[in-house]
Amino acid sequence: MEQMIFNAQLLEELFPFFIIIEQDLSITFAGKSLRKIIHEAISFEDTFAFIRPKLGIEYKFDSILKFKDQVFILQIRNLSYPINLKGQFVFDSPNNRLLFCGSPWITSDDDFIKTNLYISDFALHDSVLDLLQVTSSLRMEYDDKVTLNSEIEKQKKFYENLFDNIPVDIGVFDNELRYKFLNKNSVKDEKTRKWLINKTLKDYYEFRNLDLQLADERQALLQKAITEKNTVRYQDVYNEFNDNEKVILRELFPYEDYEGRNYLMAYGVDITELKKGRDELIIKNKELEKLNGELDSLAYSITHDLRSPVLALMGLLDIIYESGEFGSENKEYLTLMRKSILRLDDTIREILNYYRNARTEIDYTEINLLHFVNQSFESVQYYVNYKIKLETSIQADCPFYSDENRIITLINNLIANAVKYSRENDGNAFIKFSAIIDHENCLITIQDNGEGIPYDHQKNVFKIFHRASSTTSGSGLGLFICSEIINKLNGKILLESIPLQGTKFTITIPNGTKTIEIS
Amino acid sequence: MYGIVNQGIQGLIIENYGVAIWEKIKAKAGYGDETFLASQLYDDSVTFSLATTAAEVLDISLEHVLKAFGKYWVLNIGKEKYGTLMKSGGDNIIQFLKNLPNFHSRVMLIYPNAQPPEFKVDVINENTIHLHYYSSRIGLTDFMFGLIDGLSEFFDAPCGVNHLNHSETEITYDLFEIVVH
Repeated sequence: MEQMIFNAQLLEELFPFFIIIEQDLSITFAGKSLRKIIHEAISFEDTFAFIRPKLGIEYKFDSILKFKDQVFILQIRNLSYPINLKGQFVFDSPNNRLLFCGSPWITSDDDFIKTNLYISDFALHDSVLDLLQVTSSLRMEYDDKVTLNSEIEKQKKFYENLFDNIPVDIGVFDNELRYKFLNKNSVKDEKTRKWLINKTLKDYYEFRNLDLQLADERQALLQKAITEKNTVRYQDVYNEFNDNEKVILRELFPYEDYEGRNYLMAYGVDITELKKGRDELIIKNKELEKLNGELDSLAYSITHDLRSPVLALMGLLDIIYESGEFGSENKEYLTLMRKSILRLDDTIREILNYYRNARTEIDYTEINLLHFVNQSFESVQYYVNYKIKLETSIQADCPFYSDENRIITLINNLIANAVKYSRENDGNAFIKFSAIIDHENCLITIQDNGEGIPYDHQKNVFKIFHRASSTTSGSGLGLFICSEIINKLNGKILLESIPLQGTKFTITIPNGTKTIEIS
Repeated sequence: MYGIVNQGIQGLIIENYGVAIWEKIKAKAGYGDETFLASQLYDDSVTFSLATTAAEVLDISLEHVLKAFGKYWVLNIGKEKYGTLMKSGGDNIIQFLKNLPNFHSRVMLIYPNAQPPEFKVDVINENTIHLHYYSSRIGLTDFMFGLIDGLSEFFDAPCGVNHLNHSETEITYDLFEIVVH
């Protein structure tokens, strides 16, 4: 082995960046690739700087020799872009010189581009280039990590922002009831918020000098929620009985995360306004109840105290009428008195009907429309002194269920109107009543060939106290009540009328079959 | 210094005194919100601040902290993160110390901003060496004592250590005589 002969060419092929330095640190040989960089440089000290080792070594042959068991990093001086050679010194003892074998340390593509080095400058066995591949892929992975991190940051900020902007207090406790999260609404001061993480509710109460007994109570509620794994609700009232009273509805909501860890979310919603509103509603309700009670009394009063005298008057008038003992002038007066009383009675009855429609529940029974129509017509046909023909037609797939009283009132009003606003029509006056009944609805039409309703009145007919004509009897409540009844029954009414030709009402009322079936 | 050093201090404190004390020290040193990343470069002042604050909070001397840290560095960080490298450095303490500079130089190749210390070993006889220590930083001599202590335990080689020389100019230079029993 000692006799192996090397020539420079062999060495150069293996170590294209080698140098040989003499005792005086002059460079006598340099590898081909290194010569490309340092050219004809002779002085070691002027050409190279120690990077490693650096603190303990000197630019002297003997000093270098002392460190020959160590890895060396030499930097080539005076380059616009630094090149570091990594390698080792070997002592060529027969010739008393040092050999440095190493190569440029490449860690990035920049090192190649800026130094003017090429792959062909390196020996094939040199693993520096292999390492370059590894660092490239590591860099890629690192960049991925940075990207992911920034994504996570973005998401974190998004959710933090969300939580800070919800107008609700939100706090999260861990299984040991230490604060894990607090949003901006729950604790306004950021420093306090940060400090509270991993502290307990009691710590917070102590910090704020709040009632510690209350803290114990609250802690017990938290514990209850966690132990029973059930939502706990309570209200926090601040400044009770003051103008500044604030009521917060709080819920403690235990939950598990995706890894099975237990958490408790506590959130609080300000219900002060809601509560105020509700309290006001309760007061108003009481007032309304009182009012309704008074209305009930009034209705009772109307029934008995108003109607009785009216009926008495009507009875007395009938007696006088039938006795026949009155003069022709008085006869006219009697007729007028009768009309007035009837009108009064009508009005009272209509007020009662309105009241009944508004205040009583709908009571579904089977309706015999024909019967009510005939009954109604019989009692009002004498309003006029000529004959009106009543035509009826009922077409039914099934029975019609609705509220009897309301239907009767409806039919009475419409038939009465049809009679009151009829014309003699040379004996051809008619009222046509038709009904089509199916499982869903009852479709009723009442048509007459009477006066009709003037066009500019038509949109007002259903309004309260509207009267188309001042000559006829009636309080003006009739059609109003009809529309109220139809509303209550969830139906619809349509008016078509041509003045001097006639009027047609089309009414749709839901068939209460379903309600009957259920009950 | 790279974050791995700060992580080392963290590990040392947590292992011996628990997380709560560490959080306290970290916050007191001014880094309450910081998460130390191993491969990130931090200013030297961070490490020094952590060490001095630890000494303050634990009511022990800085010397004590640094010695404990040196030992921890070898027996925990070294063993866990550089286990293979350490084993390949040699099967006895002398061999390891001779190869130590190469390890540090290679660290520099990967982390160009690192400023690892330099070492040189002069073999006096079979079980005595002179270890030269050069550092661009001041005040870490006690850390070195801890390091040697840790290595002695790692290689199961009880040693006697004599501090032959110490100088602090722009750099720190220490000369240790290590006698392996």
